[in-house]
Amino acid sequence: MNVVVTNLRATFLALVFGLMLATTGGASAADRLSEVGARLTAVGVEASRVTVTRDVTVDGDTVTASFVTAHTASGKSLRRDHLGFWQPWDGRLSNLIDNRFPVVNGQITFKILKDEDMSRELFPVTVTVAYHTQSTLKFGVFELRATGSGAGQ
Amino acid sequence: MIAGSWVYRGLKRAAILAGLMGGLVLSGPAIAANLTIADVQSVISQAVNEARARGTAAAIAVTDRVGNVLAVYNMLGANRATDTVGADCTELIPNPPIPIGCFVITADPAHPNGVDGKGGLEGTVLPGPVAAIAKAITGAYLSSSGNAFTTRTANQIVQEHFNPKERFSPSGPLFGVQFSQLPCSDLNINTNAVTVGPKRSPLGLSADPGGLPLYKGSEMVGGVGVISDGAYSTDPSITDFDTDNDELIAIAAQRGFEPPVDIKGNRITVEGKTFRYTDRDAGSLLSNAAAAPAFSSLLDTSVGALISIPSYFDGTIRDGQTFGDSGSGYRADTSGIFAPIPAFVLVDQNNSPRFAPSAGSEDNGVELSAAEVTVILRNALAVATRARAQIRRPLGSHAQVTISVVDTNGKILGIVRTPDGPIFGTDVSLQKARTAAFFSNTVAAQELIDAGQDRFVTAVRAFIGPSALSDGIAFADRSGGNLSRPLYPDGIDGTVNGPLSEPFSAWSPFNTGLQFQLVLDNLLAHVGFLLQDQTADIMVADTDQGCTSLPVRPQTGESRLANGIQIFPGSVPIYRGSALVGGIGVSGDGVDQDDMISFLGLHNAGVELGTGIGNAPRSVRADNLVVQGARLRYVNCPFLPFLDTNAQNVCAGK
Repeated sequence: MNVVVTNLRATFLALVFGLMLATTGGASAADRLSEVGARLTAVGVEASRVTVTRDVTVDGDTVTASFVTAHTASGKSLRRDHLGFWQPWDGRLSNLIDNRFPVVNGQITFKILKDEDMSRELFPVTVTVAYHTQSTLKFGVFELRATGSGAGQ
Repeated sequence: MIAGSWVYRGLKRAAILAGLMGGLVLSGPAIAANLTIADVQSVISQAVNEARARGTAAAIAVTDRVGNVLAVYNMLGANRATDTVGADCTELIPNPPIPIGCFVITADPAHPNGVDGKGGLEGTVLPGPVAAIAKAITGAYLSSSGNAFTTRTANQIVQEHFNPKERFSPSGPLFGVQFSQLPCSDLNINTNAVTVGPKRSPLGLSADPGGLPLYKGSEMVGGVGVISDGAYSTDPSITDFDTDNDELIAIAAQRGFEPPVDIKGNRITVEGKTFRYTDRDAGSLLSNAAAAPAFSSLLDTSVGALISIPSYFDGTIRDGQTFGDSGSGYRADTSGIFAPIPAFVLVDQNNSPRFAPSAGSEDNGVELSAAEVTVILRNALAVATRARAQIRRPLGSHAQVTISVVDTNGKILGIVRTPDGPIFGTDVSLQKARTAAFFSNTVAAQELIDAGQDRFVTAVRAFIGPSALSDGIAFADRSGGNLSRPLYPDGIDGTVNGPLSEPFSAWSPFNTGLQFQLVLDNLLAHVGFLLQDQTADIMVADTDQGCTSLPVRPQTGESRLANGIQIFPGSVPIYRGSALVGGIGVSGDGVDQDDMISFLGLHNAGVELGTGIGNAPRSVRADNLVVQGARLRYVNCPFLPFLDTNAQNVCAGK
């Protein structure tokens, strides 16, 4: 790649290649959530058939509830219920619905979307995964990005 | 998990109802024009015709009013064959059929490779078509059916003095607007398909001459942007009349799509100064529009080619959206909640309102209710429709603006607009609302530190006092703007810079200080996305659609400043008694009108509601602070603002 490196570009090459490589189909390593919010790696999806799961290490936390929410590019705020339905959400944490994901071997597997046709949705969709302990909420955020052109990128 | 649950059926019902009610409440201008493929081809052919007559070549972009990129065309040989150190930009474009030239960002066109020491975006190199897109979007977004502005107009109103180089006069009234419509904005839609708007701009708004609006009759339908000289810059002096190839090619492109003469920027004054529309007019063209080449002849690769740009244009020329139809993302409100005021709302791809009034997400017992948000928006609209417009023709028109309300998390609680507000005000009103809410919040200093902006917190505290940005002082955008100028007090030469600005020696419209630093990583990511080798095995991802590296909020999945900050006036924080509950931002007319609509609209809403909602207690407003011998300002309302009364000083005592 014969790219000129100017003052800004030198910075972006390190930043972008280091932190922002697109992935497809879900993260390969378990993530960790935090009280101040973790920024997780974006996920590329084929909009016509979207399946997304996310593995999260809980590091000994006692998990009392788990949550998934989404914010679409067109402005909808949604919460996922434990049956996998997505409902409008007012953004209040007290109105989240426990998704009841189990902790297995110190990890939660958040089953976020399965075989969903999102071809009429505008991307990216920002997804938040979270769990409650006895004393705090830990959460992380990542984007679903449509691969290719069409509904969005 | 049950497949097919993503589409919530209630939202579908709402969309159907909105469609059924479409004829009941509609009001506002009859708008039924769009750019067709034939129109777009004509614009490009006329541009090529003029470029040839001038012995040069250009990159040309055409957009519709809401920012859909309808075409990007590159003439063979346009812009620099190579960038500042000898590489060309061809490999940065997906499968380019012809070589693509580069441009360099520079604060001074006399320094075509950038000005040493200016920092920021200075010296950044990108393919020419990217600048053409930014210019076209600017021509479209700054204009409306009541005002036609260009990138040259933008140049006049974003610099350290208004007019530029006019010593000891304050900064441009839209100082900082160039960092709006950002590629990371959570409001703007990000796809190369023609969809609902508003769309983002790859470089924010442009102040480099060569971006003009396009009209069909009196209807504003889009914009055209041209770059031929390989420099993306500003015009630091407006005391002369330049012969600028980019601008002249754009003027030729615009033939047949000109604005009505009476609404051109040079018929509009602010602070007694006339805006500049263009430096030359059609009388300076070297080409004859009637002799423009057939568009089909321009697709020969010995001449030029349509160029796909990732996430902006897919390489196929297309029709624009008709503004006011739901497909544009803007249509008349059909809910009736703002009646009898004619209001426009933003809608999604299913014709469902994107930002209908909703309650605050704080869940702390004092948050705004949806009903309160509705009343605030309606009262602000009412002030706007009474307010004498500053930047619109004919005289006697009312202001046309967009109004945004957010909570303290930056969540959008409602957006509404008058029908003909310029599109740029959509994103900017939201920036303003979030900026006022954020800087009035006691968490502001800590979140800025968490985001690596310590030096600005340190500077503000050295300037104002050790508890600044954590003591609950209420900052309107005008107040924060006072601190964001490269000269403090604003416009006084020889003084120090405001603590949220870069020093004057490093400042430029491409390096504004905290405003720029907050979105730098996002811009870097987007530049990287656009710059990458399109043949590489591993592709670089685009920026998140959510600006800044401030902590994310669980209520929104993004930071409190998810489309960046804005540093020119037009917003105030919202309080319930002494408790901060959000912000209101207004954009689209003069900054004093924007100030008044936010401040007085909120005040009037508070009187109507009687629930404690209103402006900040006077004792905590930033205009109590005398900083370095100058008092910060809170809002500045016009002297004689209304069309229907002779009332003066309407904000006094409130």
